[in-house]
Amino acid sequence: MSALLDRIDGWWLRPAPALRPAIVRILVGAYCMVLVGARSVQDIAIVEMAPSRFDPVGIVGVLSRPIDSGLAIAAIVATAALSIAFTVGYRYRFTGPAFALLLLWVTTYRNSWGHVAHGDNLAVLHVLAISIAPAADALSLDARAGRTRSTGWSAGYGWPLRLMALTTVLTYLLAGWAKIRYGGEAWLGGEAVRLQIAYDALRKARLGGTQSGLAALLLPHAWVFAPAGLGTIIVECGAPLALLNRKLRVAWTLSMWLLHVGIAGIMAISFTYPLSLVAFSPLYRVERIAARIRRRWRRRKGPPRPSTDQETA
Amino acid sequence: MDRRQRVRTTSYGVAIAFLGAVAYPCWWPHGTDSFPLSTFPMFAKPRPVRASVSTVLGVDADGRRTTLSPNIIGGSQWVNLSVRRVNTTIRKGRRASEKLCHDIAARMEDAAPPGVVQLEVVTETFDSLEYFDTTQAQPKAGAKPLKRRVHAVCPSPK
Repeated sequence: MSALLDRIDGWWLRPAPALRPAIVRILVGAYCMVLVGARSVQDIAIVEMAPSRFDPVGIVGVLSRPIDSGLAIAAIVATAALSIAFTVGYRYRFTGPAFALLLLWVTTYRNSWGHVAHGDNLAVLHVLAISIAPAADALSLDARAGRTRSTGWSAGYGWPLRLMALTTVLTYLLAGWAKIRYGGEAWLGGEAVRLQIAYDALRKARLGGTQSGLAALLLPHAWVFAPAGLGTIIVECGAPLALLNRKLRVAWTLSMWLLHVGIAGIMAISFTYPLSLVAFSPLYRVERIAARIRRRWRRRKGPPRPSTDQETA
Repeated sequence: MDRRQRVRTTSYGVAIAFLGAVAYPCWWPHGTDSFPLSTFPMFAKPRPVRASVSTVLGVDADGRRTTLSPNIIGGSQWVNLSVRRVNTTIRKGRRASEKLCHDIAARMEDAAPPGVVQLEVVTETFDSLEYFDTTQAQPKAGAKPLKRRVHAVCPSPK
């Protein structure tokens, strides 16, 4: 038991370079920046809906009625502005937590109008986790201005990423567990996934929503859904395997990504955070991937140009 | 306390609180959901084959029904918000359904589908698998519901 605890402790406190959380911060920040910007018009339309449709969830539960729409729009604008500061690492010790809290507020408020969507949960949790980490000690305006502590290796750069990785694993595990708890055999046999897709497509058809042609094409073929149901449960419940070693991590990430591609293709529901692969970045030594990409990029660009002196000679 | 011990204490404290919060929804009663903490129940619950959908349809002079858009019905692109709006309204009774019908008709003034002369707030029940029992890429045009309950009817803007 003590040996296992020592192993966990060693894994948890294994030092990481300052570059690793910095790259994850940029990836997660850039994703959120695009998300908040691209959805701002839709979000503004939502916060201007009739107060009777307000149904608060999460931290917005402190409100009994919607806040003034001007204030809600100001929060969206402030979140967009802070997402830039977060991504470029400007005054991160303040802007990091401030962005995380505002993003939590804005996304929760968006979900407080009668329908709780599940596409932003992991991104918000990741931002909350990395906002308290020293993730701007490298590749940031703070580092350029000399406002950071160090750029070496430290346990303080590693554990927040492990916390993010565990959060990713836990959320997928919860999703798999919910399917077993509520669906049980129907999920394992594929009937639940088939009926879920049929129900979703039917609603979209009768309410004029965007449908995927693939759903109508596949639904008459029951045999397709048995491996789909079982596969979904295996991949979601198998999430902890991603923590064991590199091969399993890559295999799980690819399987999870393909599952989301399938959902997008068949149900026209896009979970953009995992589809962008940013959701999986805390599981990897991203600074090595970045270095490999840089090396390949340089190689593709060809050998360095000779200096002017040599050209003259 | 040295630096490593301080990092250990802080990090374990934060992790236990954070991951405990993420896992907490496991103990929520069935059907409870929130944000960003959730059990992710969206696809978990098996759906019945006979599925009821409440919506607002356009009806032409010959009695043919046509679907509207989520923007017209619910005021946003989200189908789920439209579903919620129509369901909540129907539960409130006939007067609320009539008001919804008139509200949507008023919103449609610039974007009324051609030929639509009236609107219907309805709950339709379909066999969801039979609805798509075709090898074509689109659902059966004009698939008949097993049951249709009309909650309100109002004229469409000309």
